[in-house]
Amino acid sequence: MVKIILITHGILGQALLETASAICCIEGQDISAFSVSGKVNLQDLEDKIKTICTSGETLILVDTFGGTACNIALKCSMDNDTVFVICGLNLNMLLTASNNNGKLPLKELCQKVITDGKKAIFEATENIKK
Amino acid sequence: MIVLTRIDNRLIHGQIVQGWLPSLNASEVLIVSPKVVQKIFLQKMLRLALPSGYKLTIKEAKDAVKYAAESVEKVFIIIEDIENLIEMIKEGFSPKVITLGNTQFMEGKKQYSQGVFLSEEEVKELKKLETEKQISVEIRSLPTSLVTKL
Repeated sequence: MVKIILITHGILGQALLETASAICCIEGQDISAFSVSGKVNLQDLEDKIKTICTSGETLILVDTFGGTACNIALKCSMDNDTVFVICGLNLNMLLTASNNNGKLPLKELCQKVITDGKKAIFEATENIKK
Repeated sequence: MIVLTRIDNRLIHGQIVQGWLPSLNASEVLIVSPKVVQKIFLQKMLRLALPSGYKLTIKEAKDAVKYAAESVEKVFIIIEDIENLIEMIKEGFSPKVITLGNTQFMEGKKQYSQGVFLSEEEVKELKKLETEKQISVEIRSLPTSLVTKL
């Protein structure tokens, strides 16, 4: 299984993690959430995440490209080929990641997370009227 | 021409891209960070984070002052921290207003806004800019935020 790290603004990552744990079984998986908001020393946070990343394959999910969360994640992936960063985090992506963790190689897991995340976005009203 | 001078240890991030750039008539972003000057990877990252259509320049404090003064673009200056700002002031940098956006949190620093944390020494330096150089120092995270003073 790979380690999954959520890095977001505010309490978004923590809230998504709590929500995901109520929907699917994430027990036994190494999933953690970090916030870049408020009283956070960004260098300390970067060091902490880098340490997690050195102990094996890691998938980092961040909220928005170009934001602080994403910038930190990219720095952590810089010298480490076993770290993958995906931006645009939504609940479906996290569910896909945890449901398929350990079942797919990291590269394929990444692809599935991206595909499912995109698939989850559509106009629901239009869809139901068909 | 300088359109805004901001202190922000996060450099180019959400508040800049989503908040400031759409409301500032800037054509160039000048990053003042010795750390980034040394690292190509960080430069690439900032280029990716900045929407296309804006010129991106990265300088050390000592080179930034002359560069900003001579640029024909409408320059949005983002300085990494107070230390680099003070270095620029020593080089003759004299903006009318300095906006504090985000400064690194560290133990012992006092919180002035959601993202602004300052040591006593930094507050002293900033107040000196106001009294001695007539530079107004304001705390403001977004264009729509309430402006507060030290």
